[in-house]
Amino acid sequence: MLTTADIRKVVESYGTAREHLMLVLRDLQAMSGDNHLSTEVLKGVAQEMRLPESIVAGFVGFYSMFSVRPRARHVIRVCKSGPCHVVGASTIFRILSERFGLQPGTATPDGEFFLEACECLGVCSVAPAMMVDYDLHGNLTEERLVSILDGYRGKAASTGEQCGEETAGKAIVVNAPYPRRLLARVGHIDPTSIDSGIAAGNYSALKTVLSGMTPDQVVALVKESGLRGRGGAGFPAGVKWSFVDRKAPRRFVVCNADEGEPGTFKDRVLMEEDPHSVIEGMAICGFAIGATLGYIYVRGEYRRSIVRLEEAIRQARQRGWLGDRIQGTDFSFDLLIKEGGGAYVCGEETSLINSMEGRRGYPRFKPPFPGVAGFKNLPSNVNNVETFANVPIIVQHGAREYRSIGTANSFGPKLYCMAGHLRNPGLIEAPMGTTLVQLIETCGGLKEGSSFQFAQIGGSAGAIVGPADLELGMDFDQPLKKGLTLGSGSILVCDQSVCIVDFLRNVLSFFRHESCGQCVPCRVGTRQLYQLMDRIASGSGTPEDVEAMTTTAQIMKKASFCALGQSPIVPLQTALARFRDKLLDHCNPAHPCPVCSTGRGASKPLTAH
Amino acid sequence: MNESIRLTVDGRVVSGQKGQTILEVARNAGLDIPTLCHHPRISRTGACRICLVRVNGTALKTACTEPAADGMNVVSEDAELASVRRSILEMLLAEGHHNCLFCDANGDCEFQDLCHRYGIEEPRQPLPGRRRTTDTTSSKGLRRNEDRCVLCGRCVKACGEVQMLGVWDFTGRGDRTELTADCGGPVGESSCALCGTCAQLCPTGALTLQPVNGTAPTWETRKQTSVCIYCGVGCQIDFHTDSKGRLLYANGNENGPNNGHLCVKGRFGFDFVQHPERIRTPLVRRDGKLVEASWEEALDYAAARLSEIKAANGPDSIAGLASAKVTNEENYLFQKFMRTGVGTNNVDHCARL
Repeated sequence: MLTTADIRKVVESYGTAREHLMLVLRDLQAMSGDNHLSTEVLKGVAQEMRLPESIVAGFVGFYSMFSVRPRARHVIRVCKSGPCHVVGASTIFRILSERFGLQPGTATPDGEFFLEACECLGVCSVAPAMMVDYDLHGNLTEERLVSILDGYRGKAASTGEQCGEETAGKAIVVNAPYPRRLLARVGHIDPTSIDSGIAAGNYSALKTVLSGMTPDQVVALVKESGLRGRGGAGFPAGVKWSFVDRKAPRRFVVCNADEGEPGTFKDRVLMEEDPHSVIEGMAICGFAIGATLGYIYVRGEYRRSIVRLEEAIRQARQRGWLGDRIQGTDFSFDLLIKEGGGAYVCGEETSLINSMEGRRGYPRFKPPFPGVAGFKNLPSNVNNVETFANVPIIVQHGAREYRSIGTANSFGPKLYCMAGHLRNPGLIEAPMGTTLVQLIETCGGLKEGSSFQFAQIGGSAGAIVGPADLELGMDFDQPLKKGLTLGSGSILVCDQSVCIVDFLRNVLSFFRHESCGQCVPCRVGTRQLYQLMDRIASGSGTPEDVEAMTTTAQIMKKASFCALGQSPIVPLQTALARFRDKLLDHCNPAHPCPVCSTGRGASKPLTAH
Repeated sequence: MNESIRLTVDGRVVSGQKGQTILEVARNAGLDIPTLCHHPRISRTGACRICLVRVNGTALKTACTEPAADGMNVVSEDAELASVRRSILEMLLAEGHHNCLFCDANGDCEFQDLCHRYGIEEPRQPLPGRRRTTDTTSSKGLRRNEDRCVLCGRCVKACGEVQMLGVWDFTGRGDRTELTADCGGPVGESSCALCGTCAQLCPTGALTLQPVNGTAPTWETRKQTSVCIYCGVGCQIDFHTDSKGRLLYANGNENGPNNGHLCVKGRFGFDFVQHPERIRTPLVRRDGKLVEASWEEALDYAAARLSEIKAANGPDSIAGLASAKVTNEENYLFQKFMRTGVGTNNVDHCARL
């Protein structure tokens, strides 16, 4: 039982400002012993932080990592997103049910384990994966699963010092035939030592900037480089920087590290293996827009990223690369970390800002854009992790050389996250515009016995492409011409064993789970889409249901508040263009689909990579 | 300071001020754009998407959040916009359980009005129901039936921004979103101050007021505007009466000095008005008993006795206590009367006690 004194102590350790709500509640939940926040605790937090109780309760209700019901000593989160789903996540659930009696939302009778189905954990190269407390475990097989869980019995929950198996460093596809700039240091430096990073080139770009460039020159350089945002939308970063209101008394640099798009794990690798490249990019941005403080909003599941960044920030301050008067110049800049609590929508920049402020992660209407009124209503420039990591490269090599990489209007290197039925899934750095087939071949092609059926590019919000699209250049503009999107740069390759209907049902369950619920078309539409697809998958759908889905998704596209509700049309329409017959086949009860009819999708044997 | 702008709405040139939304400019010009989550007394939301309009030929923008700009061309409704609005209304109808026959707001419901306006019938895509909280008894002031809730957030903002209490907020996420009063639990056990603003701003029957003197179908009620008698603020109240003139419920008048706001007394404290035991004439004590008297008689009696007491014991033997239920001007007159008429400084006011 947590006492009022416990609550007061935690609140005092962060401060009573609302923006600290996430960390206060996270700590109290960890202290509860059974991973939950009781009504008494919520009331206590409200009192200590001088907030209405409803705000605390509403906040907790929004983020999926919190629970108001008692769970167990250890929470097992099994990923059910696409990349894990197609390689046997449902088998994990079956084993947990058979061997431990665990269903999602239940605990073992001894109070040891509580099971939750969660969305992408960002370790897709070792799918199927799960997180126990904050520890990640990939490449799961039945034996491994059982032995891993047995290892937790009787032990206290880990809070993040040990973060499970090392995955990020190993996530890179070796022998890729492309030069490495973004990943140049990854695997070659010790990410916990700034000296190791500096010896390999970290902060040399910031040094160049501070020894003679003006802020306007930096903005002009980034504009000239043609760098486009790597979070998915592809907005020119330099233009965004130039929109930041310089008249306000303060400005912020915000790094969007809420990498939640299923199948995407590039930002995790950068933060965990080369954290100083992100810090350096943010500091350069701070110099360019006249900000003295930056925030990195990291999703709560990325414990190791947070630990590594915290350590990197500490060392950077020590060595004078962050803090007051950096390297003896007039420029001061510092960084703080904000954490997410399990909400995909917080990757939308205005939701992210609301979440940073200790609010429910609802997107804000625009205008005003964050560059005018962002965090605490002050001008804030939000970019993705990979975007910031590109900035030192541009400074070091110049805009001209940067523009020589990639394709027209999509310049520079890109990180592609390869997952699914590939021989060597993982992260590839390749020039923008590298074709799908080249990327797949870099991964050694498909697994033995697998043949290419389709791929989803850009995460759950991305398009389904078929064999005819393999020559597609993966940049911002070429997919657009075909009604597709590059998105975050994730590519989920599916072989013949995957049923498109089951796959789409999985995608739509993701949107339903992650819709914030603020606007009507998305809140109701995501539920309608899932229910229609579930009906089709279970064999009781009709051809009219297929049309109804398109109609609903189109209304969502037109009327939704943010990109989340506008997205489901993309996988749906692209899948229908290529697999309409398969959907209609499912509407014939005489031909039940062997994959879909099990209710939870393919129950595959698990094999280690 | 104010920069004036001119834009075209449905072919009509209208003018407004920079900083206004399309909706504000259009409504000032008497043009109708349907809304649901918007309310002028709370901050902009943009969540229901009903007010989507076409801006400059292509883009669909919510009129309630989009700043009006000089030279803008706005179309408030065309075939596509009407179809989007119909779809949204159908979605809301499918999501809740809107049984108008049993609803307190039947006939006085913005959602019902919109469904009539756009000819909505049974939703084409029914959703297997998920019932939300119904609690019509725990609170002395509020009835809550979230099956009729459209999750517009007006109540959340009414409590947080107008009453500044923050009893309500949303909890859950996506299609599991629902209201929470404080940390959950019955609203009657929450920190609610019973101002009733959330119910007044609710566009449906999800939050309604507890009846004070019974109920009547909304179409049989009549609105009469009056001034609250409880304090000197002088809030305007819209009393809704039934066909027999019985006072049923009170709403703050949106155009009054109170901007539509009321406190618990103004909202619910009117049952005395038509109460059979209400004192309707002055009472004078005769032979130890209070009996009805005329105003002349009562005033003469009071004046005579006050004069006698003053003559016998001096003015400081008299004290006056004024009421917060009268106006500032009347309170001023009262202290003047005590000081110059009676001749004493023994005057005080109940609000100081």
